[in-house]
Amino acid sequence: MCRKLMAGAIYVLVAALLCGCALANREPEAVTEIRLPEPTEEPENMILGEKLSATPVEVTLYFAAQDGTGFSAVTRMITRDVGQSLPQAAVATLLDSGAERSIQSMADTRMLACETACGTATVNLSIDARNAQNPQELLALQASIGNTLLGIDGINGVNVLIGNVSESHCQLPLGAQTEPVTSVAAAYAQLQAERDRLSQDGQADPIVRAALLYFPSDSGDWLIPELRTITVGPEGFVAALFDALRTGPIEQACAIPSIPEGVELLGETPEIQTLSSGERVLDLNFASTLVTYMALSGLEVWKLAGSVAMTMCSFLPDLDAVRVLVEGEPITLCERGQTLMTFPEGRIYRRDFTDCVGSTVKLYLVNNEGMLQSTQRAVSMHSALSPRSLLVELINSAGDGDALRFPIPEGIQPVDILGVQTSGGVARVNLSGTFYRCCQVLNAREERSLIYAMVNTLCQLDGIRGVRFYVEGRAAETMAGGIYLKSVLLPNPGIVVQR
Amino acid sequence: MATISLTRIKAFIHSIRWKITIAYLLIIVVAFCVIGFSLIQLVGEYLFNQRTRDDQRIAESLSEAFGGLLSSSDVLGMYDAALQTARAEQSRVLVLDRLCTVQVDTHSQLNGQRFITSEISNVLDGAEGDYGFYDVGNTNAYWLRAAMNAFSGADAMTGLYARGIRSASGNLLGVLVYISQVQEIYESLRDIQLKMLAWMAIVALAVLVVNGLMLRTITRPIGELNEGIARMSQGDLSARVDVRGRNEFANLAKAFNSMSERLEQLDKSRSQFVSNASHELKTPLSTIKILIETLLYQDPLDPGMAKEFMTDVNKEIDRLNRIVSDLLTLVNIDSGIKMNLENLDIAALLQEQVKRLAPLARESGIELECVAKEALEVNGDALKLQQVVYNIIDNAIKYTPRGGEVHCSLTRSGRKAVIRVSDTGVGIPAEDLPHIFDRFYRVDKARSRETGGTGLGLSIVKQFVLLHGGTIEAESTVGKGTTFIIELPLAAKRQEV
Repeated sequence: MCRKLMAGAIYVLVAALLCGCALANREPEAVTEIRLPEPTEEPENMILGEKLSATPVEVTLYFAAQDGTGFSAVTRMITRDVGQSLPQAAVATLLDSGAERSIQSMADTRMLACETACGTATVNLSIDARNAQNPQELLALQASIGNTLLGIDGINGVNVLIGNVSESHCQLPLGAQTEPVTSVAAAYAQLQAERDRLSQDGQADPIVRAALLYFPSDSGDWLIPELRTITVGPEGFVAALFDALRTGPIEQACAIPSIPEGVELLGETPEIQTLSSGERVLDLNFASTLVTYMALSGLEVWKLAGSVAMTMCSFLPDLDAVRVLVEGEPITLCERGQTLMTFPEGRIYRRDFTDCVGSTVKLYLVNNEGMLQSTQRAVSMHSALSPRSLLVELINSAGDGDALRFPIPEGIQPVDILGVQTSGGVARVNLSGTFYRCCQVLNAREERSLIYAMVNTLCQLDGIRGVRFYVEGRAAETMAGGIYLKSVLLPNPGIVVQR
Repeated sequence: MATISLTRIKAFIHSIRWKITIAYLLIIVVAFCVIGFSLIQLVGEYLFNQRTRDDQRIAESLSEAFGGLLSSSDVLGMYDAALQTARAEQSRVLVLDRLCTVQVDTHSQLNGQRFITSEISNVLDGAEGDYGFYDVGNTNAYWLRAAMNAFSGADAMTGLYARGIRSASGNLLGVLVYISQVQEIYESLRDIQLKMLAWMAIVALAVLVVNGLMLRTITRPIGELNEGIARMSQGDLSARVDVRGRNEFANLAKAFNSMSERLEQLDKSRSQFVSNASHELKTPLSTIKILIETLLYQDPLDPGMAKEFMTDVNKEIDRLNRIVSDLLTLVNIDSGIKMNLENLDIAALLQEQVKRLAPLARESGIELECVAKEALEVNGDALKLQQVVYNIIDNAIKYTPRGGEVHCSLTRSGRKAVIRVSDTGVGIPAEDLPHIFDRFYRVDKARSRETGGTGLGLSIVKQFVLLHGGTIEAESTVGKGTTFIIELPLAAKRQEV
């Protein structure tokens, strides 16, 4: 009996061994503890305020040839000054270098301002530019600026003004330049042909121009430019621009229409009048219903006046001012916030509103589903270039009632952004201890949303490719245990949902 | 009832059928397990190697493309390229910086977090690339490195290939991690495993059925044989088994039937022998009893009659003595009689016996002649061969009427010496001829006893001839005579001569 039992046991054992051979290594192999690489120790870096150290950027400058027909391209590394946009720096460099390389008028001309907003650049030159020997040379000057700025990433349209007035060529508006000009002679010939066609026959093919339309922002006191292609028919340029304004903004989500729906102009198509002072003024005479419609839509008068003046004066040639009339009575004053704006004899100049030109930025906020979503926000042109301002905008977007919000816990104020420093393509953000402590309650998802809301927002700025966070000037391991803060964090495009 | 069932179960467990079935099942299970798992191992290794090569190729391509993108921190470029690859290959791509912080994740889940595995560590230590398998399960954590052959129990098997991202000058900028799902390979292998198990079950079932049928054909004859033996052991010698087919069991059945038939015959012979012997012994005893009783009850006793009766009693006693002697001789033969073998001149032996019986032949008016010209030597027992020849010639003389002839001859036939004894006697009927060598068999019982025969003479003769390796047979025609032919093997020496 015992032997039989033994034999049976041996059979079973042999079978089990043979069957078990294949499963011998079934147990997974536990990974031995692996040590993560550690960064080198770095000294305390207490960043306060905003220190922007722009990285030199390669820009191709187009100098108008001496004969005024072509351009010579020179590529240079351009470093921006503090608070200066790249287009501004590029134009300044172009004009400064013009004396030795280009036409005389370029050398004499100064840049009064450069409005860079929403992918457009409006360069306001000194009236020295009019010293050009002939219209073709002036066109060459404008085109050299246009070509240079269009070569910069993100610039899609360039408008060149002289003394805040749009210059006419062949009695036609030039509009915003959207394509590089290769031959000034050809471009000028094209303008001449268009002038001839327009003067000969009212039924001629329409003229197409790119114009900058300025719309009021939905929040804040800003006029946001939008590049729009307009087609000019027999009614003329004023009607075309007015219709475009009445259509409202198309691309700028944070802008609103400046002319209420249903409002009509009285009388014939408005025309430009030359006053005894020699100024050219455009009268826009609205019906009395304008007041009612504005009251209904909540549109402020300055927004209407600014939008119309900025748009018309930036496009229509040799136009100095615009008068907005209601049943023949000009608007001579309006309130802009706490400021009372006065317009003598109703003349509204472009220069009255140049400080209202704002830009748009993308803020990455969290939606109701907890996902990051980008939203457009109107800010000043300066803020659009300032990382700290963007972070402040984010913190100001932390309201609970909003559909999109910045996911920070309560108790964090803009002052908790102690400082931002940019160098080498990295924005170093110094957060306060309060900020750090408040964030300890975040879960992994909230922490990720918070960090990447800041990273993605900051990385849209020129020259910022990554963000590094510090707490009270020291390198922190994590904010709430998930995201490693000792690395430079690159943006996370995949976390953003498209709506 | 329970006892019976237990007994039957025990009997079944101890049966050959059960043991062979268990052995077959064990062989099948072990064979299937070994072959199946070896096959799965081979297929699995092939599939995994194939996947590893594919992943390596893709990861190498991506890491080369990402060198410039990572150095310029072009996240969008890396993300788009990684996403395109990940969607096309249904995989996941991570880009890590040198601190193992995830900068690009096509799932956008691990960005900003640190990610480390032994493969990544190896790359950071200088290796070009490294591959590993992980069972991430529901945790999505890559801490448990899976064995290559862990075919079962894996929920979300993934392959992870880490490859260094280097700048144009060769500096390590980060690590590209390419994660592909290999669960489908594991699922395929698991399917194969399940199919193998199903096939094993089917084959085992089929083998059980076939084995049952085969064992039935094997064990059924054994059972029948067992039953037959049991019946025989209980005294039923008529037990026979059915003979089916031509296999070993059929031969065994035939042998059994033959043996039982022979035993039955022997049993019958024994019974008949005992009956015949009893009868043969009882006849003289009865005669003696009658004669003695007659003498005892005769008053007064007649001396002449008494003498005659006592003479008869003496004759019956002699007859009893002969019968007993013959029986003893047969018993000795049956129990292995001792043979005094020597080379004998058979012709001389024949002539000597003819010479001994010549007076009896003359007295019976029978002409006895012998022709033995050739001197032949036979290796045998002289006394027993003398008795053989004597008995045959004596029988011929006794059963040949006066005026008849008895002719003896010795010839050589090949390697045998052939003795023929022919007479012109009454002959033997054909139906009696096969039984003349049986014990106590008499063709003409009355005459036999008259001639003083015991009915055992020819039986003894045949046994002696057989002991010498020879044969004896008889040819007879009723009314014409009988010829006995005895063939004896010649001695070896003589053969050589």
